[in-house]
Order: sequence, then structure tokens, then C-alpha cells
Amino acid sequence: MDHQIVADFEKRYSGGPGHHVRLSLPARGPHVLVLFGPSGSGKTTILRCIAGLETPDSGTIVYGDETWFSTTGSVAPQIRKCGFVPQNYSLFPHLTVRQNVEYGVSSRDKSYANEMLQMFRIDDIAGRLPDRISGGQQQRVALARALAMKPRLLLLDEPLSALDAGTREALRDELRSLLKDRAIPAICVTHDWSEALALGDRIAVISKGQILQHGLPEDVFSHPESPEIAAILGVDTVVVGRVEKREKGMLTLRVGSIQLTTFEPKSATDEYYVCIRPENVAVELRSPTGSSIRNHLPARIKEIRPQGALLRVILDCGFDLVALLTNQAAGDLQLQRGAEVVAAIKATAIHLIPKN
Amino acid sequence: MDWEAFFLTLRLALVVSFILMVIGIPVAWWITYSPRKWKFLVEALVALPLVLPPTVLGYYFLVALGPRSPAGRWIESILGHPLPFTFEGLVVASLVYSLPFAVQPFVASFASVSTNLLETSWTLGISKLRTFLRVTIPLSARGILTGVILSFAHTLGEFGVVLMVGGNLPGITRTISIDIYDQVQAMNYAAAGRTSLTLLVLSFAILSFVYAVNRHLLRVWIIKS
Repeated sequence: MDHQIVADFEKRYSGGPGHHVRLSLPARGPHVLVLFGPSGSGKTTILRCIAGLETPDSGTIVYGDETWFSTTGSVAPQIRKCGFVPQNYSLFPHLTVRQNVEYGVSSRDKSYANEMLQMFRIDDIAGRLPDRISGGQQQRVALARALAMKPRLLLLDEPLSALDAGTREALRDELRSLLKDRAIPAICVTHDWSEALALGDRIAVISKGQILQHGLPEDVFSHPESPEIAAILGVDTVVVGRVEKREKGMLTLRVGSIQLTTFEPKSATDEYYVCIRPENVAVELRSPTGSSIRNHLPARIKEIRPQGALLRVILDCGFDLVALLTNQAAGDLQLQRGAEVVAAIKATAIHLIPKN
Repeated sequence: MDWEAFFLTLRLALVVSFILMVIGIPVAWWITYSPRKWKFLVEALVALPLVLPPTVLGYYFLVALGPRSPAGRWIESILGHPLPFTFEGLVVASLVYSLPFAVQPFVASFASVSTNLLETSWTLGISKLRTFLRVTIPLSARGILTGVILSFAHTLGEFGVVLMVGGNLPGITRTISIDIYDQVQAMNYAAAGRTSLTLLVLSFAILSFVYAVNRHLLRVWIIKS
């Protein structure tokens, strides 16, 4: 248990739900724990308790051989040295980008702060005030400021949620490689499954202040332990695919014995999480002769479950693939358990996230 | 125009507004951030001079700081003379009289600084006191300036407290408002009119400055925007 960050505490609010948290991660090396859950699930409270900004009602928070919190006392946030990046970044509006990054840095570490400015490519805007730079730049400044004080643990609260979709994807890849390079353990809060997959070495699914499931991203996403967890995750099929061929902007991936064709994403790597939402999977009785759809996978129906007005059809095509169909469509095709069908997925409906 | 009274008033207002900045900031800090449940009592106490007649304040000063009270005798043993009817006595009375005009704008501006910024500063290893100096104070510069100037202007125009505590000693406690009262009593309306006009123009200019700064129409060197 040496050099582990272990948090096991309870936090109650009058009238609100109680939080009971039990989590651990290595205190050394690059390790990202993602706390994943819907808004209001208590993720931010957990981060704030670990940062020392809120005091739990009972339990312990331990960093290696230091006790940060126990019922006998609490270590001040100033001593904990957690690089905390809040959701709205909280840049000091009266200080320039450079002054923000140097804020928590002693005078002999100024050169390190300078290094951060360069690494985050914000040295050219170092003289500007925060309201004069873009959202993406603000995010970089907040991260640079947190890293400049050489934190022992990085706490990221929805680090990308304030950005537009394009910037978000670019910065997500950047953030991932940064966390690996700097070798600082991090706890990252998000409600975005693509962020969770891209950043997390391990994922903890949280709802109403409780950790419902904890494990490797692919395990959590492909084997949610309960329907509640599956609903929180929101994406049903997540499998690991290896790149087999890149050609003219298209990518062929191998998942088990199956080949999938999709668009080549910007970030090039050998392995991706292949994510498919159930509403993007069509079921056909046999492979059509002419079709614009790139992927036709022979499959067997494993299970049919009603979900509201729709049916959830779980297909076995080498991996479990979930399709969401209307009752009428299922009736027309006379689908039933064990039937041999073809699952059709458009290349554009496959979402790839680089696996680290 | 009694220039002696004019400069005495100016000196009083400058000394009072400066001291109020120094003691008002910690008081406002305590009111803003203290978790104590009874802090509303302190808030009410600070606001009391807004509603009390100046003569009431003056009366209590005379009683509390005069030579017959223990506090007054103690002060006399230090200063060598009693506090009432001196410039120092006037300063002490004016400090209390103008206290809400400094503290209330300070509190309002401290409270408007987002707690997220303070917490971020703490997680960056900066103590609560240094966070206050490096984040709260610069971001409250406008409110602090407002408080200092309002307390300056308020001291400039005080009458009742001065009359009760200071009396009318030329060069020591005779301020412009006392001077105007004297002139009117002496039926010297022309002189009273000139002094009144000076005070009116000065007060209007000061208040215009405060409102212009708060509406971002004027940039002041200590305020970056």
C-alpha cells in the first residue's frame, strides 16, 4: 500500500444525499483516475475534499505516508500541494498570463514557470490579461499554472467542458500526452464518455456520491455491472481495435476476428477504443448487394430487451454489439433470440478514441 | 473665507480617511469572511453612525472620553491633556462617525470577489492572508477607493459631532461647517454663502469622481481594467 493515494470518507449535506467515497490510485508515475458520472453526482465534491477545500464528516484521506484528513484533523490545501484546475479555470483576472502561471511559484522556480509557458505555447500571450485570450488558451494557462508549482497530484474538474467541440478534441489529445509525459498522478472529473476513455487509466463510475463501478475503461464500458451504470455510461459498445490498414483517409481496424472500416481520426496511434452508440446500429436479415453502409457484420441475436418504446437487441458478432430498434422494425423482421442477422454500421457512426 | 478652518477640515478628512482605510480593511475582512453567527451584531454596530443623530454620538464621546471617565483619565495620562476639544479628539470622533462609509463599500467589494479565486490561490500554496493581499485587495481596489473617498467627503461635511466634541476653537477644532454656522449666527450671509458654495462644489466634485470611477468612466492608476 506504499505510495498510494487512498480516500475513504463520508460527506453529508443537510437535506442532500450523503457521499461515500472509497478510491485509491498510485501516488507516483503517470496514472489518471477518471471520476465519471452525471452532473450532480458528487464528483466535484470528491475533488474538493481531496484538495482540502471541503472537510469530510468522517473517514480518512491518505497520500503515501501522510495523512491529509482524519477525524482528528485536516491538512490545509496549501500544504497538500494538489494542482487543482477548477471547471471555470479561475484565472486571476487582474494578473497577466505570465503572472497567473508564476502565481504559486517561488522566485527561484521562475525559470520552471517560464518552461511551462513555452510548453503550453502561451509564451506569446504572456503579457495579456485572461479576458483577452480564447477559452482554449485559458485552459492552457490554468493547467500551466497548476503544473508550475510542481504538484504532487493533479485534480482536474471537467477540464475540457468549457470549450467548443473542435478545441476540445485537440486539447484532449494534448492533455493525455501531457499527463503521460509529466508523470504526475491525476484525478480527472468528467461527464463526457469520450473524455473518460481518452484520459483514464482507470474509471470510477459515480452516481449520487457513491462509486458504483471501478476498473479499466474498456472493462467498465463493455461490462457495466448494472443497468444504472450502463445508463450513466450512455455508450453501449466499447471495444479495443487494432489498426490494420490506413488508406486515403480511411482506417481498417481489427476487433477480434472482425474488420471495421471507418474514417481516420486526427490522432494517429495503433490502438483505438471503438465506440458505437446503439441507435447507430441497423439490423438486416442478409447482406444487401448495394449499400452505402461500409460495415456489414454477420451476427447472432443474443438477447432482446424492451427499453421504453424501443427494443434493445444485443448482437454477438465476435463482440457484443447493442442495437436500438423500434418494435415495428423488429416485428417486420421477425427478430428472435438465436436468429442469424447482419449488423450494419456506417463508417461515420464509429467513434474512435486513441487508447493510451 | 476662513482658510484656517478650510485647511483644518482638509487635514482632518485626510487623517480620518487614511486611518479608516487602515482599520476599515481588517474590520471589513472579518465581517466578510468570519463564520461567526453573531457577526450581524458587529455589522449593526458599524452601521449605527448612519442612523444615530451626531449629537448622540458626540454626547457619548464627551461622557466616555472626558476627564471624569476612567478611559478619559487613562488617555489623559498618556497624552497629557484630555481628548475632548482637541484635534485628536475630533479625529477619534470622526473615525467612528465615518466608519460605515468606509467599511460598507469595503465589505461589498470583498464579498464580490469569487470564492473560487481564493480557493484556487490556496491550492497553489498561498496562505489566506497573502491570498487576501494578492487577490482580494487588488480586485476590490474600486470599492476601497470608494470607501476612502466617501469617508473623506463625509468627514469634510460633519457638524454635530464636531460641535459636541470639538467645540469651536480656531485652528484646533473649528472646521468649515462650524465656520458657516458661526457666520450665519453673526448675520454674515455673504461669507457663509462663499464657504457653503466651496463645500458644495468640492463635495459634488468628489462624489462625481467616485461615481465615474465605479462606472468605469475614469481609469485610476491602481485599478487595471
